[in-house]
Amino acid sequence: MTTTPQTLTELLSAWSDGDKAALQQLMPMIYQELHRLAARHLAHERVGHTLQATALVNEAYLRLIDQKRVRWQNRAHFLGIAAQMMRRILVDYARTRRNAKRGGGAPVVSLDEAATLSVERASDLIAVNDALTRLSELDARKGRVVELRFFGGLSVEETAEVLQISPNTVLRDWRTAKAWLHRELSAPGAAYRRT
Amino acid sequence: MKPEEWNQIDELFQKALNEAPGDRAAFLDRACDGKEVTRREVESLLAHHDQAQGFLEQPPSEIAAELLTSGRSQFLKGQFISHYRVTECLGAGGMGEVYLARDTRLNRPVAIKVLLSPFTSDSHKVQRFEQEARAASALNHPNIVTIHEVGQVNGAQYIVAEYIEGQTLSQRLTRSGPMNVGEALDVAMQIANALDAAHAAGIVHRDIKPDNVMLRPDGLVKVLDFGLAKLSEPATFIPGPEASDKRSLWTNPGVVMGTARYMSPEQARGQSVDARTDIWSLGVVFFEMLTGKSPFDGETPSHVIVNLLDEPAPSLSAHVKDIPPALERIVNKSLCKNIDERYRTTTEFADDLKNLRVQLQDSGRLNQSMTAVANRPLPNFRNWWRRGAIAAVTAIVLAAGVFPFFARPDKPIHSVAIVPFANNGDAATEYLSDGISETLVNSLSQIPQLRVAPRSMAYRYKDENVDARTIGRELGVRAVLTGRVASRGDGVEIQVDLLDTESMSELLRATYSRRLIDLLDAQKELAAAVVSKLGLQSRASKYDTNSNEAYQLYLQGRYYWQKYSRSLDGDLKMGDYFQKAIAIDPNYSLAYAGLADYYATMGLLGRMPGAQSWPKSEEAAVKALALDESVGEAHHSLAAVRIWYDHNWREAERELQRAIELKPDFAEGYTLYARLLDATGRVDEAIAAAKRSWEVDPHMPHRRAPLLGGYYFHARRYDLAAEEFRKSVENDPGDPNAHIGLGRVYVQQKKLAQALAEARKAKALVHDARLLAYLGGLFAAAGDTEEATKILVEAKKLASKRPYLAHSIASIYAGLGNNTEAIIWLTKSVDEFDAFVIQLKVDPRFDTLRQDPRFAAVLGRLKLLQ
Repeated sequence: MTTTPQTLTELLSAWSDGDKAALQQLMPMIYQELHRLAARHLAHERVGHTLQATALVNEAYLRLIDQKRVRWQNRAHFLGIAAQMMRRILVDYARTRRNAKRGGGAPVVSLDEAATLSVERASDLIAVNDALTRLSELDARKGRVVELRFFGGLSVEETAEVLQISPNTVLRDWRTAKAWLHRELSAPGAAYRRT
Repeated sequence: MKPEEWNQIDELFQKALNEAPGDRAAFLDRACDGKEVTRREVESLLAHHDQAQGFLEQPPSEIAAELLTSGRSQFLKGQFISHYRVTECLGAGGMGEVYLARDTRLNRPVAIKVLLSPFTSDSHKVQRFEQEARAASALNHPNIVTIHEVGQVNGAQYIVAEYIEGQTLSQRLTRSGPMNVGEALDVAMQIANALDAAHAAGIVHRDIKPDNVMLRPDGLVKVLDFGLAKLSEPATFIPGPEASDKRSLWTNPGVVMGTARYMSPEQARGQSVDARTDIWSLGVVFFEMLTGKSPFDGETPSHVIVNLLDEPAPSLSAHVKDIPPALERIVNKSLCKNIDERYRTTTEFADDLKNLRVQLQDSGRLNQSMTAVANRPLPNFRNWWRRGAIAAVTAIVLAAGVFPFFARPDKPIHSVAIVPFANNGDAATEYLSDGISETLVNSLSQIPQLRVAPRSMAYRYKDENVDARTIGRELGVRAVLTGRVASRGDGVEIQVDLLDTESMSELLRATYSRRLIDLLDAQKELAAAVVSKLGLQSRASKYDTNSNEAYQLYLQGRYYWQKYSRSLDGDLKMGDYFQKAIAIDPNYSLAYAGLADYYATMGLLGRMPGAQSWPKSEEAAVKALALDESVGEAHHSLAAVRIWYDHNWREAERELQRAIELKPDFAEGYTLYARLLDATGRVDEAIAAAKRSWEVDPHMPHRRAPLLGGYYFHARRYDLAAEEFRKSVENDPGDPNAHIGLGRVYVQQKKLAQALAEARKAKALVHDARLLAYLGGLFAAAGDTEEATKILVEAKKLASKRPYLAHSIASIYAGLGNNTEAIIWLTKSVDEFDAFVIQLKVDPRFDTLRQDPRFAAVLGRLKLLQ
């Protein structure tokens, strides 16, 4: 490791205290750790094992951050970044995959699939991402809730911690957001009607 | 939608959810109070809420897994694929990964190829592939790899084959260059036999290339991957309506390139293929075995394709000398673009090969190795319509070459190290690998916000196989650029990797394939790419010439200049390259500096009288500096003139200091400075400068000991000197200079018997009058007057005809105690600008003359009297 845990811990604290530049340095480190952990998990399992994003994010946190030297809020900040990172890299990857496969074109999600959408396929993931971006324009907090829960795999409590809201509010936001996104994905073009 | 409206909808939605489903309508009647739009919105959300129970509750795990492990092999050591335990991943190709594994039932090693899912998603194709693979395995031919099993694991198709120890033909050609005729014939015949058996069974290989041919250490050739090619073969390679559907298969440009070179014209056109396609590909492979070059090459796969469709196959004799005409006919016949003119069957092809082999064996020419014909440029693509075709094909291939994970730093990276590029090709391109990385260091150093690790530091990692992260840490830089250079036909391929060692993200991985004459452009492109990937603003870099060709010539000239083992031929080439570079770009300052160094070399080695060479050297160096004062190399060249021609030591030292200031990584700057310091009696400083030069360029270890030995000798630290010379004797017992050096030290240590022993060892190794004369002084000083006198007589006879004997003659006279003659001959050596005269002030061999005023006069001429 080129980065000592102290450095990362300090960066995290700095960012929590409002140093925007620190985030730019944190992101690649967190990405790297997520990547490494994922590979290690897979190494111990047979092929086909699915990854739990939550477990990864938590483990990354435990490994990267010196627990004695951070305030409890910092963990929330970390989880927040990790979720954002996961979203970004997953979507970028899905885009590349889709482009390679289809040579571009709009993602198509059928209603039937959307009902039980497990979002395994690249185009589905992109569709969710795009819809989520539109949701964030309408309601930024609900957008964050989805980002943390879905892309970061955070629990309701962790999400509440990150966003500094009550778990109850998280649950309410989550419900609305899910219904809204589901509708959005079921009716292509709905977004354009609405905005 | 206004925020208040949305907030209201959200609130009503939440409240309605708290109502029993049957009560919701009534609730909304009351709550919406006639606002129809709001009500419809809430109702639709409620409807979707009911459907969305499991929606988004599972994280996107499969995509995450695939993403996070991309670039790594699927199976790890110890894992099982069926009953095969994976030993290691041998490599990954375009279609899948190859593993070495152990068959736990039969307890034998096997090779397992696991196909990537894109190639196995079409069940019909998979079925056909299985049929073909089984059919191929049923052939049971000694030149065809035996397939043990075809199966599926977790949805992935795999093939288990016999494990073959050895190297691929492609590795063989890269490592050891072209083959001699006998070797090439042998391999081609075995491939033809394999194909013959397959064709008889109705199987076409479709992808014969050096990567698919294994050479076992016992000489047996094995052809791999029968039938596999069908899985990856797009229906057409020419842009057409369906072209875009095919590109997902073309995900790896390297693979496309590797395949394109061996593709038959009918394959490239997307027409149906038969056995004659394999004959074509074997023809290409055969051509490459003989010449080391592909008959159809180009910067990109699309260039290759256009080339192979339109250009006639180059003749073998254009690439190698003394080709037996029958051999050329065979190659030509296998490379006929018109399928009907090609060999019809592999049997025919194999028969011709066999006959030729017999013929050559009878005439004793079987093991003749091929001599390359001088560089031949690739055909130019001048026609516009052809450019259009290339552009169209390129568009497809480029679209496929998407690199998903080239992160760009979120914040600019301000430090980088450039590890000297490894050279993958033959010795002929060795000059490129150092030259390119050095030029890159120079141009990146001009970016103000970027700190580039000194060449000297980065040089330590050349060919060292140290991981980038360690390099980054040790050099204190964040980004590390590594690369390799390989010659490809008449072109060059530069592969680079730029890594952010902090995040371990790859910022750039690219391959630049260029014809040599486009090298400069490739470098500019590469430098610009690196700067941009570091997140910095590129600034127009200062280049010394705008001509690719001149630059190319300059690099070649420098290569010969830096070469330790000199030959007259190489030295003449050096001058030629610099002259040609100047002819192309008369304002190319560096090339003038090179020319100055060429004349200096000719003078110092006695290949040209000093009185002629030094003025020319001076003229070129002055011209170089007039064109650009900031060229460190030119100051170095001028310093050499000041030392050996003018003996203007102060001026020379100034030039060298300026050279070092301008170009702190120029090893030769320190080397020359060391010689100046040594000559002027500042031996400690000389040793420090010499050591610095080795730090800057540690790739000259063979120069180290003798030079250091010489400096210690001049400093009269004889123990240390002896140690260094002993080292050089150990390193290279066949080097007479090492023995002579050691012998001279023994003389000063009064160990005359040992000195004499060294002199005799050296004499056994000397086959040249000049070197023998050089040795004569040692015999004289060691007390073998007879031998010394014999050498002296010989040397004096030659002295009028050959340069630089005077100094040796003087040393013999000095050893024999004849001071008068010694001084006469020393004066002559000063007159002829002998390279060694500058050491006169410090050379212990002339200590017996130091009290003589005539000796002081000689030193005075050298301006070495304090």
